[in-house]
Amino acid sequence: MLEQVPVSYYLLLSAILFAIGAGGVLIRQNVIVILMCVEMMMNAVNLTFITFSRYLDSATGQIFVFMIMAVAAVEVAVGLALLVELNRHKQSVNINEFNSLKG
Amino acid sequence: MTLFLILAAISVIAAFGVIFNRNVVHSALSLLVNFATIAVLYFTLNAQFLGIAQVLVYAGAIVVLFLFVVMLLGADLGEAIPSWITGRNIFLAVLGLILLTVIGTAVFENVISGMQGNFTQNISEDFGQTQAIAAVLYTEYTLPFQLVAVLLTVGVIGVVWLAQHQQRHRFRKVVAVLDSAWEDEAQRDGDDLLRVNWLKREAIFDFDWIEIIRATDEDVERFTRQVGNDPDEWRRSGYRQMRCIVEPGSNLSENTLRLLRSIFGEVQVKKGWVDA
Repeated sequence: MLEQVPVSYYLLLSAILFAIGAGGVLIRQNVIVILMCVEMMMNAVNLTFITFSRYLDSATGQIFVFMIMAVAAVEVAVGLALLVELNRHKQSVNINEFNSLKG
Repeated sequence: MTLFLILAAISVIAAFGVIFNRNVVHSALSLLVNFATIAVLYFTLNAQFLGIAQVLVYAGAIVVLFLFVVMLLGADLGEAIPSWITGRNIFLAVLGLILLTVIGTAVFENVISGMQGNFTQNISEDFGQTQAIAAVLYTEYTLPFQLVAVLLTVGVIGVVWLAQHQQRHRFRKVVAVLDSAWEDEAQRDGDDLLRVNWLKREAIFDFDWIEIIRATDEDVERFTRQVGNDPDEWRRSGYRQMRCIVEPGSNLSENTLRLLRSIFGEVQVKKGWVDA
């Protein structure tokens, strides 16, 4: 049953998810939602890796996804810690408020 | 095929839900649905180990972290969205569509080719999925694997440092000083004591105790008037417990001292030799 799905369908789905994530990063101004959209884009890329891993019968794609998951976890932790600090300064999570490089 | 289409539809709807929910908590829950459907897609693609890892790391850790921060900061912070259909948003949606067209063309116009590996469905069925991945991870990709461990450590240290950095530069105690002979506005005293010259500043700020070294009755009266009219409820409740040290150099009248006693919990008048 699963064999019938063409590989391009998976790639197209991840392209759609990536585009939605990119659009979300541009449209939203709430930093928390922007970080969520970045995670969504990473997931879309992961899906591409896994699709090719399946298509080419190679484990390398899965190893890459494993690494990306670790990077994503660190990125979210550091990003949210930065956001909490920024929120302490500006009392806001709107990205338009964070427009100065001065502390 | 049906399973794929259902999962794809759910994940796309959930992805739109992340963007177009006004409530950040609802966005996070949509993200959870999106991650879950992608985990199921991993299962259909012969990646069971990563499907489980996806559920554990993304749904278990990352979404919970998001929700935690949303609860910590308050969900209503951020943007007020009167309407989604604005010129800017339409322009950005068109940009997103162009991106999708470009990637979609790349997907359909290219013949996907590459070296076929030996990581087939059979091998992972005979040998075990996780074992098959581990065999590659611990032989061919040992160095990247260890670098990821370093990255995680750096991330943990960075987050802890970020959380502590703020405290390190905050003074533990602040003293309000009334000294007419002192020219500076503030002075550090040791590592965690900050002495602020109120006569130079003339504005209310958080302090832990008061030292009156050289000040006229008018100065003190101005100070007490400002403190007495403090609009901050929390700060005002603290004044009753505060200590006010009056040095012998200040020749305050009995009336002014009474005024100080009516505001602060303890007024300590130091006796000593007065310079005439």
